[in-house]
Amino acid sequence: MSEGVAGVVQTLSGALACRGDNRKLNMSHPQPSKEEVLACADRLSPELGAYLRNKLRGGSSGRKGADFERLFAAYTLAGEARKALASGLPLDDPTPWPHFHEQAVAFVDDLLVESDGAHHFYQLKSVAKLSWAAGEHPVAEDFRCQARLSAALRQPPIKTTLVVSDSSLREALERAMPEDVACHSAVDYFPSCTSTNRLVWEFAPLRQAVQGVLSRPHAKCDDIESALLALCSALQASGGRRSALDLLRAAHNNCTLIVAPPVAAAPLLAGFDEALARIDGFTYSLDGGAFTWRCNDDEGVLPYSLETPQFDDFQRNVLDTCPRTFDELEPLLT
Amino acid sequence: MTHESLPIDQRAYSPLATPQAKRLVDSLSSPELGVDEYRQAMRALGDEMAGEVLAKMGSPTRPTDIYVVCTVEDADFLARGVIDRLGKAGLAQNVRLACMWNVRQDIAGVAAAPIIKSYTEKGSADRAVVIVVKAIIAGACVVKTNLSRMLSSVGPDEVFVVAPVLLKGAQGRLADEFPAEISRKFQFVWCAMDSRKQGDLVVPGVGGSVYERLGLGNAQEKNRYAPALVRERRSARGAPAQAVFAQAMS
Repeated sequence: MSEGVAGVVQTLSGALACRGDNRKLNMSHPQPSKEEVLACADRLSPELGAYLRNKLRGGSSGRKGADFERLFAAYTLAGEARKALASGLPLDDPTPWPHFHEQAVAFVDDLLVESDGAHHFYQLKSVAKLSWAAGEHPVAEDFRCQARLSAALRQPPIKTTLVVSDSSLREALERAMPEDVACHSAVDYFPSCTSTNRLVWEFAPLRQAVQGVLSRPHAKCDDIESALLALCSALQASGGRRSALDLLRAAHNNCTLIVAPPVAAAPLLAGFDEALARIDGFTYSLDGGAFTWRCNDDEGVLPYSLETPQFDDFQRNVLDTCPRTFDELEPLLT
Repeated sequence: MTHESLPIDQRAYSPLATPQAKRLVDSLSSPELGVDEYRQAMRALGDEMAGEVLAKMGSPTRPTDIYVVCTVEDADFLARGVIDRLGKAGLAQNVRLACMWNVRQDIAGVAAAPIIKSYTEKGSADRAVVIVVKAIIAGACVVKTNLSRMLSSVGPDEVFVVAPVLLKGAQGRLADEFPAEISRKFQFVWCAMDSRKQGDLVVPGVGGSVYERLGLGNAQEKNRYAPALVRERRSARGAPAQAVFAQAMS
């Protein structure tokens, strides 16, 4: 990027700061809206506005539901959500939860995660060759511009991470990282696979991350793949900035094994627990908003959430049927 | 649902398929075949194809566990035929059944078949053989899911994928879903290979929707089916496996 554009970046930042909308300096201040940033960029420089628009357009066109960038986003979502659940964030208020934004209006724009009082910008490259300085818009220059822009916008401290799909390339880029971006930058690795199932089998950190948001302990690879796809689907449908809490709940609709903190836990119907207790060897759990069960060599999960009318119907069917054995209960469990 | 009979001569046959297996697999696409006859044909196909599995397997060293992995719709028919043949070979006590109830979904643009219910008999985690059974393999998402479940807890020496009908390319599609160290263990046992689809259905395939031809309803209704094979083995848990086999064969 030319010095002229970088200079415009500073002017843009100043223009936003002088809008007079009395925004406070706030460590949790979310990204300005897309319209605000583009409008200011256009006023200050057509070149800057065009560059930002090109990045936005190029990143969103032809996106598949489970492409490299989205799978990485889903993996990151699982990790951040696991930390949030473990730290005891409120389950009825998404405000303090990490927030995700795919294709943010930014120079480092593949993924933006607002978490732990910082803004984490990610650039993903599924390529065999890459360097910090090559190309019309070098990666290093994008990282520099992002740092200057975020500082001028008085945003929280930032991190910028370059994610590549080749582990050898990752090592080379780490060694060659320019000093002026090193203080806020890192290089990470995430494999590119032709199938999500194969990705689950081959990348242990992904399995660990997704397991952290499942209500079933020691989940098998097929459950992890289903959950991963559900997280991708939630991100794909989100369109803009969404909290990890809301994304988990959306993903739960496609995979009930994903923990969905209930807004309000509904009590079970009277007699339901007693009815199931009569069945020799049958146990169940309501953890994470799903009905998971086991009876000796049989196990399963109801494909609908505890908060749905289908679960109410299931309870009534159990009470009406009064099953005495697992064979009598079995037809109700699908 | 009626099914238009399509030319059989557009399919290829496995060089290892017996004349009886070819006759049975071609009979599936006849719309005149009623539910009972269709079920019998599937069970007979399982018996025939298990013969090829046994020939490839050699003589497993006991106490190797033989996991037969199937879907709910295949349990009482194709899978039971396979287990029948294993029993005739004196391997009934080695068999461990794993039956899966899958739902078909499109999640994030990817065909998925998550398991909502399973019956899985416990056995040893190593020195095992896995035989996954499916009436027809097209996109391979169901077999992929059920194999992934099984292989998460069992590290078999051999994996047999048994399907009367394959859609061309299914072997490669399934192999691509797993790391090479796993997929190189796959041995496909099949009768017929088709290369055409009409909508979602392979033609001539298995003569339409396998759920409906087996009399189990549609894709949602089939998950309410409770296979007799599963109930027999569940209730006999703890009884000698050969006794269960003898009862099933009578």
